[in-house]
Amino acid sequence: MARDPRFDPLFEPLEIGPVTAPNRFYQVPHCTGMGYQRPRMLAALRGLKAEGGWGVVCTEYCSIDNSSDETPYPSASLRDADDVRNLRLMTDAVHAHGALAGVELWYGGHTSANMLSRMPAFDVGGLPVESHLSPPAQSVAMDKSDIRRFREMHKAAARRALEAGFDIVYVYACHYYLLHNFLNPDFNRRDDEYGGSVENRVRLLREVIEDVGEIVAGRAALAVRYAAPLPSQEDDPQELVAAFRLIAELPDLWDIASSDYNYEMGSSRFVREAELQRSVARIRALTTKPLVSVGRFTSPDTMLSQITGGTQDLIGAARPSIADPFLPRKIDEGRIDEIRECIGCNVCYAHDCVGAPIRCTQNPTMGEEWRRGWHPERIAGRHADESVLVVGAGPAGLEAARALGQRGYRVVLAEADEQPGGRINTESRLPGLAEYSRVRDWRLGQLARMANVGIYPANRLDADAILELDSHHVILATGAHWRRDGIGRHTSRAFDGFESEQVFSLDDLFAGKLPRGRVIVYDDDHYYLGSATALMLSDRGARVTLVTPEARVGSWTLYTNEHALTMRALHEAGVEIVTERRLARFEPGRAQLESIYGTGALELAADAVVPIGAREPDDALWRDLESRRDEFEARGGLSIRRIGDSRAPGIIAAAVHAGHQAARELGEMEAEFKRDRVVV
Amino acid sequence: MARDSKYDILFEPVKIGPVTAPNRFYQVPHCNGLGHARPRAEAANRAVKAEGGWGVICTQEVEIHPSAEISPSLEGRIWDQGDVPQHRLMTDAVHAHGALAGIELAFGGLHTPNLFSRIAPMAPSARPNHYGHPLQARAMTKRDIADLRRWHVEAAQRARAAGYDIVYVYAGHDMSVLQHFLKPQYNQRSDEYGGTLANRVRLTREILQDVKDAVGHQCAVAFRFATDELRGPDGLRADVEGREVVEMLAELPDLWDVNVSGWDNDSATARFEPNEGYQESYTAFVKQLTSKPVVGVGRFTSADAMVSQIKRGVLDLIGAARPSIADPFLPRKIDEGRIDEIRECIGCNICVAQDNLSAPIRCTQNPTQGEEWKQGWHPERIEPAASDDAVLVIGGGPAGLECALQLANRGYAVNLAEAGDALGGRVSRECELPGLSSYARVRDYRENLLRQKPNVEIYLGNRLDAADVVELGMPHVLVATGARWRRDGVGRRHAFPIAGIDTLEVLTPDDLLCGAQASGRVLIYDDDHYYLGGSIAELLDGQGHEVCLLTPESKVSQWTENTLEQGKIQARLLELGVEIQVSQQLVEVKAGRAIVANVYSDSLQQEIEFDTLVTITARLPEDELYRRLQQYREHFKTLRAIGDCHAPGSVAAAVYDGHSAARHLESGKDIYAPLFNRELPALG
Repeated sequence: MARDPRFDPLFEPLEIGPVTAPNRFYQVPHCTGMGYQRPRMLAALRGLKAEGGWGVVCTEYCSIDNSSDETPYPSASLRDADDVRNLRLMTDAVHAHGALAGVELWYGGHTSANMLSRMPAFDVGGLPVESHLSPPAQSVAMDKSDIRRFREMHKAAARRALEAGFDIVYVYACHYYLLHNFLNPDFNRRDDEYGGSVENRVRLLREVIEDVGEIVAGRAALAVRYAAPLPSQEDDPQELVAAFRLIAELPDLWDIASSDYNYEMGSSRFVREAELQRSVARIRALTTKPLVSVGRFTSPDTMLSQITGGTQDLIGAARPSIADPFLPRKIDEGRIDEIRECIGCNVCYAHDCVGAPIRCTQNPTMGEEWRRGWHPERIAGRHADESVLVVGAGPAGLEAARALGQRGYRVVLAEADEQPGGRINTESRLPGLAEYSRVRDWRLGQLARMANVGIYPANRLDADAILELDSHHVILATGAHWRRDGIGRHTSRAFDGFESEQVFSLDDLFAGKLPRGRVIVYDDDHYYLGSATALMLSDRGARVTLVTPEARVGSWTLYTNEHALTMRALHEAGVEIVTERRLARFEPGRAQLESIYGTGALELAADAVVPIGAREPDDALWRDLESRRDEFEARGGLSIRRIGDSRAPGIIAAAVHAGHQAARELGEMEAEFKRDRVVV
Repeated sequence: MARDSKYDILFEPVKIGPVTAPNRFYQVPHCNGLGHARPRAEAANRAVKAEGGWGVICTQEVEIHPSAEISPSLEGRIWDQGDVPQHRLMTDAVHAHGALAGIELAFGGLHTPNLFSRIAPMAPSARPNHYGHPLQARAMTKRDIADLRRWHVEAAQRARAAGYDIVYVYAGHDMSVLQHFLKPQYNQRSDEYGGTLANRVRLTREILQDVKDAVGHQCAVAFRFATDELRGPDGLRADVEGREVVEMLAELPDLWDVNVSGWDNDSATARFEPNEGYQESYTAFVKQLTSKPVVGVGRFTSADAMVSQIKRGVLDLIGAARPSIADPFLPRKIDEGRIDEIRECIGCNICVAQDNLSAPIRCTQNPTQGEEWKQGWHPERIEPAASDDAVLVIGGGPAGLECALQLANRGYAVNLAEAGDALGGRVSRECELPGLSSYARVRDYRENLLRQKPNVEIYLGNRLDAADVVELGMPHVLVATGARWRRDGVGRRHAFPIAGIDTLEVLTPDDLLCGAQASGRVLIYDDDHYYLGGSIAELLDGQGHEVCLLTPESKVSQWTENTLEQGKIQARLLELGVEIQVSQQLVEVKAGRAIVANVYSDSLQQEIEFDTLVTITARLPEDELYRRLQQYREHFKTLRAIGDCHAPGSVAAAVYDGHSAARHLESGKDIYAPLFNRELPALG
């Protein structure tokens, strides 16, 4: 199909200094958890986005010097000739598809712990080192020679960037890295010409822009990444705006981020599409240069309105380009309903935060492009004309059926419930989680157009029924259920009284059986469900206390950047919070909580308890079938496989990945994945 | 000098299955944050210990298969043949010094989240993963068990091909699937691998036998086993399951490597286990039940204690991780009668912290640790002086002491001026705090050696100003004047002084360590998050004060999670009755009361009363002298600030900076951009 002409403005080329972006789709710098440690994985990932139509594809933050080292987080680096060689892989891959390649030169300052180089961090002043690791260290206040050195580093890195083939070179002045800190009067207390007035505080940024500009002049565009204040931040907008005015025309491109990462990188639980629009609009009015910004745009209409409304010239994206590297191509080819929309769960960011390659709930091929050779849009055709029965239409089953359908198999997808979707159906009804339904909806949309796939809801199959269907292959994706005995991450023993009728599992809640009165939500899972359940019950009138053995509520949501806003929501809802306590005993009326430090028990009035700990795989059907494998094979059956939560309960992204993998591997040899390795 | 004959027993060879250890010094497997991402650094790190006289050198955990991988932590990998050359680097380097090389094959199970491989982890029964990631391990099927046995055999064969002499089977630290099988808390199987202890030990027995069958003719097979988890009936106990397991497997392995679990107990800090040999009561029984050699650990740094372990029949081999990190040359120093030159581990676990952060290992006492390949640093050798110039080191804290010592080793005429009456700086003060007495070793080791050097002059009670320094006319001046704690509350949480704080007499750690007394109820505001907050709370509690510790973090002494101390610190404070307020920040202070707010929702406020406010937030470099000297820059060939005076940090950072400055003096290298070797993946 052809593109709807009203989206033509998204496909107009745009001059950015000496280079021209072929269209308005711009993958802003975003981390991948790969960096310099995994150059081939990374190059393939970026190349794929260029193939999918992104006109500009950038690196992640790219360290320019040994003294800016975020070990163990795998940043990219452009410190020497070896890095140039490794990054050349990426620029070649991007150029092969006609896109521009951008590099984000990065110097961390007091946010880099320098765990590898062991050099002290340098910054505008002596600040506590504030990386994810928060080591007991402080930065050195830069003196004049340090500032000279800092400028030289940028120049040298800019030369290497040209050598590596980049078309856009960034100066990075936000996210509390060094250049941002010079601008920020909270941090900049210098009494020399780099501190005090706004002219002084912007001086270093101006110098670096000029330095880098001289190096790249005529060969690459110079972009500046800069934080726009949120409209809600009344105290510092004037500062950032005043500083901006002084340099508004210096770069070839402005990449506008936000001074509050909770919003820029907000999860869909708390932050909507185009959240930064008002902040960006204010900056837009102050410069004539092209401007790009983000807002987790997945709707072509919203994108269009950003361009035609003049808020920005290029549609920046990180997460939407991760969920669908082919988003631009799908708009171009009139396949808008095929866009795999980001659900805003921030599982991508979480994995970078833990130092692992990124992954995506919606796009199981993310990160697997090179090492497993997975392409987000293409898949090998069926190896034979065979039939596959997929049992269970949750995230794993839906994805397996979809990818098998794409391969051309005859697929039957059987679901016991009335509606396909599995855990998506229940969880997406919890406060803030509505976008999770995109996992189901995109797949159902794809499946609906496959003549070779049949979906049969309200069909609970047992082993007899499965055998009688005589499918060549059976894939079991029957999910998991929540334990009600309190066993979880901190406890391997059931709490006393778990058999009480006033103990409700999450599945009870999802089935509409709700506790009343004083309810303890006991969270030994530590992701989003504890807080979301507490908010839901509170919303329905229960008096909720959230108890957890961890020191923080939903500790894993620190990685998904949801933690602070979750705490605010809980406080606003009046949910009581008790941390570092294990549920020891419950009887209707009261619960006993033990300190995890072994220092005594606390009694709490409680009418009901909702334990959220571990899950048990629903694998009885798989075990039945395995025990009858001879019968299955005698009838011509070839393979039985169990996937997703019914095999190992995990996050939705893991289930989708497992479903995809099962589909890829059907009839194929199980291939080991490749890895980047230090070769001696 | 020659070895004292009473230590001869430590230098006897020990037969371990088909191989023979040249002496009884045994570096047990320990992690170092280098691993598969930094193989050259890893090999050099291990090699220097072999050179220093350790008879056996082991790897860290080495993953045998991608279905149990622990990234982003950097342990070893021997997934396939492609990993063998990395290991060959290490075994060759170890063998070059006549030592044996051991490899700890590991399969983490519940312990490994497989964030890189994305394979579902495996465990005896379905259970959540240990790292708190939202994923669960699946219960192993019979086929999985068969795979696990095969993977061990294949890994052992690769290990032998890589040149290892000792191959481990591992069941410790709550980090190994074999230990998980042993524990009824995790193992709820109803087949022959679950239920009775004999069933739960079955898989270990099978794998020990498999590995012996595969490589036992050439390699010794060691079994690393945690006899006790120090959890009472909630865990394995030495006198119950521990003993029974040793009885059941007594003669099967060629070597028993025994310890306690989890890691926080095995590698307990000096704050909680001040005495060496602290594992003896849990492991001494093993030797009674087997004829095979036994190795165990206990942060041994004293040669006499080591001899006692052998003579009393507790151990056959003296295992060490941390003491070998602090002094890779510990055996050689005993051998050569240089016992007072041993750099004793202080038990701070900064080494462990680095590994926990997936960063290369470092050591408070040994600044060359982890730098052997990266910068070519050797713990015992250093470039001779480049000139006959005299050097002035100002400040006798950790940075100044180390700098002076290394400059003296290089042969410079060193003058060390200290304003106070004693050397040591912050370690002399902090070692008076509860649990921190071993920190004095940082001073004692250096002071002892400095006092024996003919080319070193130490001037105590000598506070120099800029004019004095210029007048002294020394061409090289290193300023190590330390840092002081701020008293305005500025730190991680507060960019500006806390409202009202200038109207109060606030106490800082400096005041308390210099004898200032708190009065009445004390409010400690800890925005530093390392050990001082908890330790000062303990000090003040001991002085009879009612103490409230307030912190914006969610735990007391949060960073000590990395040093494996956090749970123990918080438990101790709770036991003492210290009031703990977490996730709270100071908003305003007035005489007698503080207004504090929740860090997530600043409208949630409360008032806390106090008589004395102690703030532990950030430090200011004491760099006034250094800044004044900048005006006389042309008088000096070298003028450099080092340690806390440059960038306040840990004691380890100060020692490192002092060492680095000494190495770089007149080296011709740009000291702010020391080039170091880095390892990148090859594009192949």
